[in-house]
Amino acid sequence: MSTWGKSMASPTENAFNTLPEPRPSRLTAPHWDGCKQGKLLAQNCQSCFQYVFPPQPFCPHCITDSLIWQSCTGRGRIYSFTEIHRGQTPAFETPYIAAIIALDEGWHMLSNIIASSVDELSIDQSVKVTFVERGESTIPCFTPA
Amino acid sequence: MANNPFQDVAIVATYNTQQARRLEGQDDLSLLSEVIQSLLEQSQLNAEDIDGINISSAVWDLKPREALSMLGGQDRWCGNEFMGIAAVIEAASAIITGQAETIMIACSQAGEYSHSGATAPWTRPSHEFSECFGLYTAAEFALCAQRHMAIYGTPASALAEVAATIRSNGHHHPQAQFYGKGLVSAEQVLASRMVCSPFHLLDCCITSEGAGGLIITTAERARDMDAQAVFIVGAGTDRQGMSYTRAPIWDQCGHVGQRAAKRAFKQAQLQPQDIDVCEFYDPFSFEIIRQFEAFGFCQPGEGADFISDGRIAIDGEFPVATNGGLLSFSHAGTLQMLQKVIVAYEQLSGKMPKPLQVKKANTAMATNGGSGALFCDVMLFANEAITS
Repeated sequence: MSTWGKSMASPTENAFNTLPEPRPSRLTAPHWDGCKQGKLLAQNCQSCFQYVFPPQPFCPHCITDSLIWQSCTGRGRIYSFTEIHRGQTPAFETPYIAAIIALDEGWHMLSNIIASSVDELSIDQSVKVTFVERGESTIPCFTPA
Repeated sequence: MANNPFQDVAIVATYNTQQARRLEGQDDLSLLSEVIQSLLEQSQLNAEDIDGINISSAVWDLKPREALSMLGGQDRWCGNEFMGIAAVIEAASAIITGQAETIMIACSQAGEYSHSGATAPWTRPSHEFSECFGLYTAAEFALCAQRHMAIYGTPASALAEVAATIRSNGHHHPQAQFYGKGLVSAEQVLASRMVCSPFHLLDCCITSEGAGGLIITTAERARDMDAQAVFIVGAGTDRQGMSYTRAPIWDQCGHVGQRAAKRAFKQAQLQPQDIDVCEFYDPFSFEIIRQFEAFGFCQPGEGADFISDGRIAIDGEFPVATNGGLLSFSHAGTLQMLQKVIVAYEQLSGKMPKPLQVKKANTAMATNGGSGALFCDVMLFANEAITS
Protein backbone atom coordinates (compact mmCIF):
# COMPACT_ATOMS: atom_id res chain seq x y z
CA MET A 1 0.00 0.00 0.00
CA SER A 2 1.21 3.49 -0.68
CA THR A 3 1.40 6.05 2.10
CA TRP A 4 -1.98 7.45 1.14
CA GLY A 5 -3.67 4.30 -0.12
CA LYS A 6 -6.68 2.93 1.72
CA SER A 7 -6.40 -0.73 0.86
CA MET A 8 -5.24 -2.91 3.75
CA ALA A 9 -5.25 -6.11 1.68
CA SER A 10 -3.01 -8.82 3.05
CA PRO A 11 -0.45 -10.53 0.83
CA THR A 12 -1.85 -13.50 -1.02
CA GLU A 13 -0.65 -17.02 -0.18
CA ASN A 14 1.82 -16.83 -3.11
CA ALA A 15 3.36 -13.69 -1.67
CA PHE A 16 4.49 -15.65 1.41
CA ASN A 17 7.39 -17.06 -0.57
CA THR A 18 8.57 -13.75 -2.01
CA LEU A 19 10.18 -10.93 -0.08
CA PRO A 20 7.94 -7.85 -0.19
CA GLU A 21 8.94 -5.02 -2.51
CA PRO A 22 7.94 -1.38 -2.13
CA ARG A 23 4.96 -0.15 -4.13
CA PRO A 24 5.97 3.48 -4.61
CA SER A 25 3.34 6.17 -4.88
CA ARG A 26 3.82 9.59 -6.44
CA LEU A 27 4.71 10.77 -2.94
CA THR A 28 7.26 8.06 -2.10
CA ALA A 29 8.82 7.25 -5.51
CA PRO A 30 11.73 9.73 -5.17
CA HIS A 31 12.96 7.87 -2.07
CA TRP A 32 12.95 4.49 -3.80
CA ASP A 33 14.41 5.93 -7.03
CA GLY A 34 17.22 7.38 -4.94
CA CYS A 35 17.97 3.95 -3.49
CA LYS A 36 18.43 2.58 -7.01
CA GLN A 37 21.06 5.25 -7.57
CA GLY A 38 22.80 4.49 -4.28
CA LYS A 39 21.49 7.60 -2.52
CA LEU A 40 19.46 7.84 0.68
CA LEU A 41 16.91 10.59 0.11
CA ALA A 42 14.55 12.26 2.58
CA GLN A 43 12.46 15.38 2.38
CA ASN A 44 13.87 18.58 3.84
CA CYS A 45 11.86 21.72 4.53
CA GLN A 46 13.29 24.89 2.99
CA SER A 47 11.30 26.96 5.45
CA CYS A 48 12.07 25.38 8.85
CA PHE A 49 14.99 23.13 7.69
CA GLN A 50 13.68 20.03 9.44
CA TYR A 51 13.77 16.62 7.77
CA VAL A 52 10.56 14.70 7.11
CA PHE A 53 10.19 10.93 6.75
CA PRO A 54 8.10 8.96 5.76
CA PRO A 55 7.26 11.35 2.92
CA GLN A 56 4.53 13.94 3.45
CA PRO A 57 2.65 16.25 1.06
CA PHE A 58 3.72 19.34 3.03
CA CYS A 59 5.91 20.06 6.06
CA PRO A 60 4.15 18.78 9.23
CA HIS A 61 6.40 20.98 11.40
CA CYS A 62 5.72 24.42 9.92
CA ILE A 63 2.80 23.51 7.56
CA THR A 64 4.40 25.02 4.45
CA ASP A 65 4.85 23.66 0.92
CA SER A 66 8.60 23.89 1.16
CA LEU A 67 9.71 20.25 1.02
CA ILE A 68 12.47 19.24 -1.36
CA TRP A 69 14.22 15.88 -1.66
CA GLN A 70 17.73 15.93 -0.25
CA SER A 71 20.48 13.34 -0.39
CA CYS A 72 21.69 12.34 3.07
CA THR A 73 25.01 10.97 4.30
CA GLY A 74 23.51 7.56 5.06
CA ARG A 75 25.22 7.63 8.43
CA GLY A 76 23.43 7.33 11.71
CA ARG A 77 23.01 5.40 14.95
CA ILE A 78 20.96 2.43 16.07
CA TYR A 79 17.99 3.91 17.95
CA SER A 80 16.56 0.48 18.74
CA PHE A 81 16.77 -3.01 17.25
CA THR A 82 15.21 -6.43 17.57
CA GLU A 83 16.42 -9.84 16.47
CA ILE A 84 13.49 -11.52 14.76
CA HIS A 85 13.25 -15.29 15.05
CA ARG A 86 9.65 -15.62 13.87
CA GLY A 87 9.67 -14.14 10.38
CA GLN A 88 6.93 -11.91 8.99
CA THR A 89 6.48 -14.59 6.30
CA PRO A 90 8.51 -17.69 5.37
CA ALA A 91 10.24 -15.56 2.70
CA PHE A 92 12.33 -13.94 5.43
CA GLU A 93 15.35 -16.02 6.43
CA THR A 94 15.55 -16.04 10.24
CA PRO A 95 16.95 -14.66 12.38
CA TYR A 96 17.14 -11.17 10.94
CA ILE A 97 17.55 -7.80 12.59
CA ALA A 98 15.01 -4.99 12.29
CA ALA A 99 15.95 -1.60 13.61
CA ILE A 100 15.05 2.04 13.91
CA ILE A 101 17.94 4.10 12.55
CA ALA A 102 18.44 7.68 13.77
CA LEU A 103 20.10 9.36 10.77
CA ASP A 104 22.76 12.01 11.39
CA GLU A 105 20.46 14.58 9.72
CA GLY A 106 17.89 14.09 12.49
CA TRP A 107 15.26 11.81 10.97
CA HIS A 108 14.40 8.15 11.67
CA MET A 109 13.59 5.14 9.53
CA LEU A 110 12.84 1.46 9.92
CA SER A 111 15.40 -0.79 8.28
CA ASN A 112 17.39 -4.00 8.57
CA ILE A 113 20.91 -4.29 9.96
CA ILE A 114 23.22 -6.69 8.21
CA ALA A 115 25.64 -8.02 10.81
CA SER A 116 27.39 -11.32 11.40
CA SER A 117 25.99 -11.52 14.93
CA VAL A 118 23.45 -9.61 16.98
CA ASP A 119 25.98 -9.71 19.82
CA GLU A 120 28.10 -7.11 18.03
CA LEU A 121 25.23 -4.61 18.05
CA SER A 122 24.17 -2.11 20.68
CA ILE A 123 21.83 0.85 20.90
CA ASP A 124 23.48 4.17 19.86
CA GLN A 125 26.13 2.31 17.83
CA SER A 126 27.17 3.99 14.53
CA VAL A 127 25.89 2.46 11.29
CA LYS A 128 26.01 3.34 7.61
CA VAL A 129 23.65 2.64 4.76
CA THR A 130 24.14 -0.14 2.23
CA PHE A 131 21.82 -0.83 -0.67
CA VAL A 132 20.47 -4.32 -1.31
CA GLU A 133 18.78 -5.32 -4.56
CA ARG A 134 15.44 -7.10 -4.23
CA GLY A 135 13.59 -7.99 -7.44
CA GLU A 136 13.00 -4.76 -9.36
CA SER A 137 13.70 -2.66 -6.27
CA THR A 138 16.59 -1.53 -4.11
CA ILE A 139 16.19 -1.62 -0.33
CA PRO A 140 18.22 0.59 2.05
CA CYS A 141 19.82 -1.49 4.83
CA PHE A 142 22.54 -0.67 7.35
CA THR A 143 25.84 -2.17 8.55
CA PRO A 144 28.02 -1.26 11.54
CA ALA A 145 30.16 1.74 10.56
CA MET B 1 -16.38 22.67 39.24
CA ALA B 2 -18.05 21.34 36.13
CA ASN B 3 -20.11 18.19 36.43
CA ASN B 4 -18.64 14.90 35.29
CA PRO B 5 -19.49 14.66 31.58
CA PHE B 6 -20.30 10.94 31.92
CA GLN B 7 -22.44 11.15 35.06
CA ASP B 8 -25.63 10.27 33.23
CA VAL B 9 -24.53 6.99 31.60
CA ALA B 10 -24.01 3.49 32.95
CA ILE B 11 -23.15 0.01 31.69
CA VAL B 12 -25.89 -2.41 32.74
CA ALA B 13 -24.99 -5.72 31.09
CA THR B 14 -21.99 -7.46 29.56
CA TYR B 15 -21.47 -10.85 27.95
CA ASN B 16 -18.64 -12.97 26.58
CA THR B 17 -18.97 -16.23 24.67
CA GLN B 18 -16.44 -18.97 25.29
CA GLN B 19 -13.07 -17.88 23.90
CA ALA B 20 -10.81 -20.41 22.15
CA ARG B 21 -8.13 -20.86 19.52
CA ARG B 22 -10.87 -22.31 17.33
CA LEU B 23 -14.58 -22.55 18.13
CA GLU B 24 -15.61 -25.53 16.03
CA GLY B 25 -18.88 -25.13 14.17
CA GLN B 26 -19.13 -21.43 14.98
CA ASP B 27 -18.72 -18.35 12.86
CA ASP B 28 -18.93 -14.61 13.40
CA LEU B 29 -22.68 -14.46 13.04
CA SER B 30 -23.61 -17.46 15.18
CA LEU B 31 -21.51 -15.98 17.96
CA LEU B 32 -23.13 -12.56 17.58
CA SER B 33 -26.53 -14.20 17.84
CA GLU B 34 -25.53 -15.72 21.19
CA VAL B 35 -24.24 -12.37 22.47
CA ILE B 36 -27.30 -10.36 21.42
CA GLN B 37 -29.77 -12.87 22.89
CA SER B 38 -27.84 -13.14 26.14
CA LEU B 39 -27.53 -9.38 26.59
CA LEU B 40 -31.27 -8.92 26.06
CA GLU B 41 -32.11 -11.74 28.44
CA GLN B 42 -29.74 -10.52 31.11
CA SER B 43 -30.99 -6.92 30.98
CA GLN B 44 -34.63 -8.00 30.53
CA LEU B 45 -34.88 -5.64 27.59
CA ASN B 46 -36.62 -6.24 24.26
CA ALA B 47 -34.94 -5.56 20.95
CA GLU B 48 -37.25 -2.52 20.58
CA ASP B 49 -35.77 -1.06 23.77
CA ILE B 50 -32.35 -0.92 22.10
CA ASP B 51 -32.43 2.35 20.18
CA GLY B 52 -28.79 2.40 19.17
CA ILE B 53 -26.24 -0.19 18.11
CA ASN B 54 -22.60 -0.62 17.22
CA ILE B 55 -22.28 -4.26 16.19
CA SER B 56 -19.61 -5.62 13.86
CA SER B 57 -17.69 -8.76 13.00
CA ALA B 58 -14.23 -9.36 11.58
CA VAL B 59 -14.44 -12.30 9.19
CA TRP B 60 -17.83 -11.56 7.64
CA ASP B 61 -16.75 -7.92 7.75
CA LEU B 62 -20.18 -7.04 9.11
CA LYS B 63 -20.48 -3.26 9.46
CA PRO B 64 -22.66 -1.56 12.10
CA ARG B 65 -25.06 -0.29 9.43
CA GLU B 66 -25.49 -3.83 8.11
CA ALA B 67 -26.00 -5.16 11.62
CA LEU B 68 -28.96 -2.83 12.19
CA SER B 69 -31.24 -5.31 10.45
CA MET B 70 -30.28 -8.06 12.94
CA LEU B 71 -32.43 -6.29 15.54
CA GLY B 72 -35.23 -5.33 13.16
CA GLY B 73 -35.34 -2.31 10.91
CA GLN B 74 -36.70 0.29 13.31
CA ASP B 75 -35.22 3.79 13.56
CA ARG B 76 -32.02 3.69 15.58
CA TRP B 77 -28.79 5.52 16.28
CA CYS B 78 -25.85 3.66 14.69
CA GLY B 79 -22.22 3.84 15.72
CA ASN B 80 -19.25 4.22 13.42
CA GLU B 81 -16.54 1.67 12.91
CA PHE B 82 -14.82 2.55 16.17
CA MET B 83 -13.67 -0.31 18.35
CA GLY B 84 -13.44 -1.06 22.05
CA ILE B 85 -13.16 1.93 24.36
CA ALA B 86 -13.54 4.36 21.45
CA ALA B 87 -16.88 2.74 20.61
CA VAL B 88 -18.01 3.01 24.23
CA ILE B 89 -17.02 6.69 24.33
CA GLU B 90 -18.95 7.27 21.11
CA ALA B 91 -22.04 5.50 22.48
CA ALA B 92 -21.84 7.34 25.81
CA SER B 93 -21.56 10.63 23.92
CA ALA B 94 -24.63 9.72 21.87
CA ILE B 95 -26.60 9.05 25.05
CA ILE B 96 -25.36 12.23 26.76
CA THR B 97 -26.36 14.34 23.76
CA GLY B 98 -29.75 12.69 23.48
CA GLN B 99 -29.21 10.74 20.25
CA ALA B 100 -30.17 7.46 21.89
CA GLU B 101 -31.09 6.04 25.27
CA THR B 102 -29.97 2.40 25.27
CA ILE B 103 -27.14 1.19 23.05
CA MET B 104 -25.80 -2.30 22.41
CA ILE B 105 -22.14 -2.70 21.41
CA ALA B 106 -20.93 -6.13 20.27
CA CYS B 107 -18.30 -7.69 18.04
CA SER B 108 -17.05 -11.11 17.08
CA GLN B 109 -14.39 -12.99 15.18
CA ALA B 110 -14.27 -16.65 14.20
CA GLY B 111 -12.58 -18.50 11.39
CA GLU B 112 -9.90 -16.18 10.03
CA TYR B 113 -6.37 -17.30 10.84
CA SER B 114 -5.41 -20.43 8.95
CA HIS B 115 -1.82 -20.11 7.66
CA SER B 116 0.55 -21.25 10.40
CA GLY B 117 3.67 -20.49 8.33
CA ALA B 118 3.28 -16.74 8.62
CA THR B 119 2.33 -14.36 11.38
CA ALA B 120 -1.42 -13.66 11.72
CA PRO B 121 -2.77 -11.57 8.83
CA TRP B 122 -3.80 -8.60 10.96
CA THR B 123 -0.29 -8.32 12.39
CA ARG B 124 1.43 -7.98 9.01
CA PRO B 125 1.86 -4.41 7.84
CA SER B 126 1.02 -3.47 4.27
CA HIS B 127 2.96 -0.24 4.30
CA GLU B 128 6.09 0.08 2.19
CA PHE B 129 8.30 1.60 4.92
CA SER B 130 7.73 -1.23 7.39
CA GLU B 131 6.64 -4.27 5.36
CA CYS B 132 9.86 -4.44 3.31
CA PHE B 133 12.00 -4.82 6.42
CA GLY B 134 10.07 -7.79 7.82
CA LEU B 135 8.32 -5.85 10.56
CA TYR B 136 5.05 -6.98 12.13
CA THR B 137 3.19 -6.03 15.28
CA ALA B 138 5.37 -7.88 17.79
CA ALA B 139 8.55 -6.44 16.24
CA GLU B 140 7.19 -2.89 16.38
CA PHE B 141 6.44 -3.27 20.09
CA ALA B 142 9.80 -5.00 20.62
CA LEU B 143 11.58 -1.90 19.29
CA CYS B 144 9.87 0.13 22.04
CA ALA B 145 10.71 -2.39 24.75
CA GLN B 146 14.36 -2.66 23.66
CA ARG B 147 14.83 1.10 23.85
CA HIS B 148 13.26 1.23 27.32
CA MET B 149 15.50 -1.62 28.47
CA ALA B 150 18.59 0.15 27.12
CA ILE B 151 17.73 3.52 28.70
CA TYR B 152 16.52 2.33 32.09
CA GLY B 153 18.07 -1.11 32.49
CA THR B 154 14.66 -2.77 32.60
CA PRO B 155 15.40 -6.50 32.91
CA ALA B 156 13.80 -9.26 30.83
CA SER B 157 12.80 -10.86 34.15
CA ALA B 158 10.38 -7.96 34.79
CA LEU B 159 8.66 -8.56 31.46
CA ALA B 160 8.49 -12.25 32.30
CA GLU B 161 6.90 -11.52 35.68
CA VAL B 162 4.16 -9.50 33.99
CA ALA B 163 3.48 -12.28 31.47
CA ALA B 164 3.47 -14.96 34.16
CA THR B 165 1.04 -13.02 36.35
CA ILE B 166 -1.43 -12.36 33.54
CA ARG B 167 -1.20 -15.87 32.05
CA SER B 168 -1.79 -17.37 35.48
CA ASN B 169 -4.98 -15.30 35.76
CA GLY B 170 -6.26 -16.89 32.55
CA HIS B 171 -5.76 -20.35 34.05
CA HIS B 172 -8.56 -19.53 36.52
CA HIS B 173 -11.13 -18.11 34.05
CA PRO B 174 -13.53 -20.72 32.61
CA GLN B 175 -14.13 -18.67 29.43
CA ALA B 176 -10.42 -18.12 28.75
CA GLN B 177 -8.61 -19.80 25.88
CA PHE B 178 -5.97 -21.00 28.37
CA TYR B 179 -8.41 -21.99 31.13
CA GLY B 180 -7.05 -24.86 33.16
CA LYS B 181 -3.79 -24.95 31.20
CA GLY B 182 -1.75 -24.37 34.33
CA LEU B 183 -0.12 -21.54 36.23
CA VAL B 184 2.82 -19.95 34.43
CA SER B 185 6.10 -18.93 36.08
CA ALA B 186 8.51 -16.20 35.00
CA GLU B 187 11.09 -18.93 34.39
CA GLN B 188 8.73 -20.62 31.91
CA VAL B 189 8.27 -17.32 30.08
CA LEU B 190 12.04 -16.83 29.80
CA ALA B 191 12.48 -20.44 28.67
CA SER B 192 9.91 -20.16 25.87
CA ARG B 193 11.26 -19.66 22.35
CA MET B 194 12.31 -16.19 21.20
CA VAL B 195 9.90 -14.46 18.82
CA CYS B 196 11.67 -11.12 18.48
CA SER B 197 14.00 -9.87 21.18
CA PRO B 198 13.19 -9.14 23.95
CA PHE B 199 9.86 -10.98 23.53
CA HIS B 200 9.68 -14.70 24.15
CA LEU B 201 6.61 -16.56 22.94
CA LEU B 202 4.88 -16.25 26.32
CA ASP B 203 5.43 -12.46 26.36
CA CYS B 204 3.18 -12.19 23.28
CA CYS B 205 -0.59 -12.18 22.87
CA ILE B 206 -2.42 -15.23 21.60
CA THR B 207 -4.84 -15.48 18.64
CA SER B 208 -8.41 -16.49 19.38
CA GLU B 209 -12.00 -16.71 18.31
CA GLY B 210 -14.91 -15.39 20.31
CA ALA B 211 -17.51 -12.69 20.72
CA GLY B 212 -18.69 -10.30 23.38
CA GLY B 213 -20.78 -7.24 23.99
CA LEU B 214 -22.39 -4.84 26.42
CA ILE B 215 -25.36 -2.56 26.94
CA ILE B 216 -24.97 1.06 27.94
CA THR B 217 -27.86 3.33 28.92
CA THR B 218 -28.80 6.39 30.95
CA ALA B 219 -28.05 6.38 34.67
CA GLU B 220 -31.73 7.09 35.28
CA ARG B 221 -32.82 4.04 33.30
CA ALA B 222 -30.12 1.94 34.94
CA ARG B 223 -31.57 2.72 38.36
CA ASP B 224 -35.00 1.57 37.19
CA MET B 225 -33.64 -1.71 35.89
CA ASP B 226 -33.05 -4.83 37.90
CA ALA B 227 -29.42 -4.80 36.80
CA GLN B 228 -26.10 -3.96 38.29
CA ALA B 229 -24.90 -0.59 37.03
CA VAL B 230 -21.28 0.38 36.59
CA PHE B 231 -20.61 4.01 35.78
CA ILE B 232 -18.15 5.51 33.33
CA VAL B 233 -16.41 8.31 35.21
CA GLY B 234 -13.73 9.42 32.76
CA ALA B 235 -12.27 8.72 29.34
CA GLY B 236 -9.76 9.92 26.79
CA THR B 237 -8.18 8.95 23.48
CA ASP B 238 -4.67 9.66 22.20
CA ARG B 239 -3.95 9.03 18.51
CA GLN B 240 -0.63 9.74 16.80
CA GLY B 241 -1.38 8.42 13.31
CA MET B 242 -1.87 5.15 11.49
CA SER B 243 -0.30 2.20 13.29
CA TYR B 244 2.70 0.51 11.68
CA THR B 245 3.35 3.10 8.98
CA ARG B 246 6.38 4.77 10.55
CA ALA B 247 9.08 3.92 13.05
CA PRO B 248 7.77 3.66 16.66
CA ILE B 249 10.27 6.13 18.13
CA TRP B 250 10.21 5.73 21.91
CA ASP B 251 10.82 9.45 22.58
CA GLN B 252 7.62 10.19 20.65
CA CYS B 253 5.34 7.22 21.40
CA GLY B 254 6.59 5.87 24.77
CA HIS B 255 4.22 8.13 26.68
CA VAL B 256 1.16 7.59 24.47
CA GLY B 257 -2.01 7.60 26.56
CA GLN B 258 -0.61 10.07 29.10
CA ARG B 259 -2.72 12.96 27.82
CA ALA B 260 -5.81 10.74 27.64
CA ALA B 261 -5.24 9.43 31.18
CA LYS B 262 -4.74 12.93 32.60
CA ARG B 263 -8.05 14.00 31.11
CA ALA B 264 -9.84 10.91 32.37
CA PHE B 265 -8.44 11.25 35.91
CA LYS B 266 -9.42 14.92 35.97
CA GLN B 267 -12.98 14.12 34.86
CA ALA B 268 -13.26 11.40 37.49
CA GLN B 269 -11.53 13.44 40.19
CA LEU B 270 -9.38 10.40 40.83
CA GLN B 271 -5.63 9.78 41.05
CA PRO B 272 -3.76 6.71 39.84
CA GLN B 273 -3.46 5.45 43.43
CA ASP B 274 -7.27 5.44 43.71
CA ILE B 275 -7.61 2.71 41.03
CA ASP B 276 -8.51 -0.74 42.39
CA VAL B 277 -8.37 -2.75 39.13
CA CYS B 278 -6.03 -2.10 36.17
CA GLU B 279 -7.49 -3.68 33.01
CA PHE B 280 -4.59 -2.45 30.90
CA TYR B 281 -4.19 -3.53 27.28
CA ASP B 282 -1.57 -6.28 27.21
CA PRO B 283 -0.60 -7.17 23.63
CA PHE B 284 2.93 -7.74 24.99
CA SER B 285 4.17 -7.99 28.57
CA PHE B 286 6.27 -4.83 28.34
CA GLU B 287 3.22 -2.66 27.67
CA ILE B 288 2.05 -3.09 31.27
CA ILE B 289 5.32 -1.64 32.56
CA ARG B 290 5.05 1.20 30.05
CA GLN B 291 1.50 2.09 31.03
CA PHE B 292 2.18 2.31 34.77
CA GLU B 293 4.86 4.87 33.88
CA ALA B 294 2.87 6.76 31.22
CA PHE B 295 -0.26 7.09 33.39
CA GLY B 296 1.65 8.36 36.42
CA PHE B 297 1.39 5.33 38.72
CA CYS B 298 5.19 5.55 38.92
CA GLN B 299 8.02 7.58 37.41
CA PRO B 300 9.52 6.86 33.95
CA GLY B 301 12.01 4.02 34.30
CA GLU B 302 10.51 2.74 37.56
CA GLY B 303 7.98 0.40 35.94
CA ALA B 304 10.04 -2.76 36.37
CA ASP B 305 10.38 -2.24 40.14
CA PHE B 306 6.76 -1.12 40.36
CA ILE B 307 5.30 -4.36 39.00
CA SER B 308 7.46 -6.61 41.19
CA ASP B 309 6.70 -8.41 44.45
CA GLY B 310 3.15 -9.35 43.53
CA ARG B 311 1.88 -5.81 43.20
CA ILE B 312 0.00 -6.62 39.96
CA ALA B 313 -1.43 -9.96 41.13
CA ILE B 314 -5.13 -10.36 41.95
CA ASP B 315 -4.47 -9.76 45.66
CA GLY B 316 -1.90 -7.04 44.97
CA GLU B 317 -2.24 -3.28 45.09
CA PHE B 318 -2.84 -2.87 41.33
CA PRO B 319 -4.12 -6.13 39.82
CA VAL B 320 -3.63 -6.20 36.04
CA ALA B 321 -5.51 -7.94 33.19
CA THR B 322 -7.47 -9.94 35.71
CA ASN B 323 -9.22 -12.26 33.21
CA GLY B 324 -5.93 -13.30 31.59
CA GLY B 325 -6.00 -10.52 29.04
CA LEU B 326 -4.66 -10.81 25.51
CA LEU B 327 -1.99 -13.21 26.73
CA SER B 328 -4.36 -15.90 27.94
CA PHE B 329 -8.07 -14.95 27.87
CA SER B 330 -8.62 -13.92 24.24
CA HIS B 331 -7.32 -11.89 21.32
CA ALA B 332 -9.94 -12.05 18.58
CA GLY B 333 -9.84 -9.27 16.02
CA THR B 334 -10.97 -6.13 17.84
CA LEU B 335 -13.05 -7.92 20.46
CA GLN B 336 -10.22 -7.87 23.00
CA MET B 337 -10.46 -4.08 23.05
CA LEU B 338 -14.10 -4.23 24.14
CA GLN B 339 -13.27 -7.03 26.58
CA LYS B 340 -11.20 -4.59 28.65
CA VAL B 341 -14.44 -2.72 29.35
CA ILE B 342 -16.36 -5.96 29.92
CA VAL B 343 -13.89 -7.23 32.53
CA ALA B 344 -13.86 -3.85 34.29
CA TYR B 345 -17.67 -4.15 34.56
CA GLU B 346 -17.40 -7.73 35.82
CA GLN B 347 -14.91 -6.73 38.52
CA LEU B 348 -16.93 -3.75 39.78
CA SER B 349 -20.19 -5.71 39.75
CA GLY B 350 -18.65 -8.69 41.56
CA LYS B 351 -19.23 -11.10 38.67
CA MET B 352 -15.71 -12.44 38.20
CA PRO B 353 -14.90 -16.11 38.83
CA LYS B 354 -14.06 -16.32 42.52
CA PRO B 355 -10.25 -16.75 42.34
CA LEU B 356 -10.07 -13.66 40.11
CA GLN B 357 -12.49 -11.36 41.92
CA VAL B 358 -10.61 -8.37 43.34
CA LYS B 359 -11.75 -7.56 46.87
CA LYS B 360 -13.04 -4.01 47.35
CA ALA B 361 -13.18 -3.35 43.61
CA ASN B 362 -14.78 0.10 43.49
CA THR B 363 -12.81 1.74 40.67
CA ALA B 364 -11.25 0.37 37.50
CA MET B 365 -9.17 1.63 34.59
CA ALA B 366 -9.37 0.02 31.14
CA THR B 367 -7.09 0.79 28.22
CA ASN B 368 -6.68 -0.08 24.51
CA GLY B 369 -3.71 0.31 22.17
CA GLY B 370 -0.04 0.77 22.98
CA SER B 371 3.28 2.36 22.13
CA GLY B 372 4.03 0.29 19.04
CA ALA B 373 0.52 0.95 17.72
CA LEU B 374 0.83 4.75 18.18
CA PHE B 375 -2.47 5.09 20.04
CA CYS B 376 -3.90 4.60 23.50
CA ASP B 377 -7.48 4.99 24.71
CA VAL B 378 -8.38 4.96 28.40
CA MET B 379 -11.60 4.70 30.38
CA LEU B 380 -12.26 4.93 34.12
CA PHE B 381 -15.15 3.23 35.92
CA ALA B 382 -16.71 3.36 39.36
CA ASN B 383 -19.60 1.52 40.91
CA GLU B 384 -21.08 4.84 41.93
CA ALA B 385 -21.61 7.80 39.63
CA ILE B 386 -19.34 10.77 40.27
CA THR B 387 -21.77 13.63 39.94
CA SER B 388 -19.76 16.71 40.77
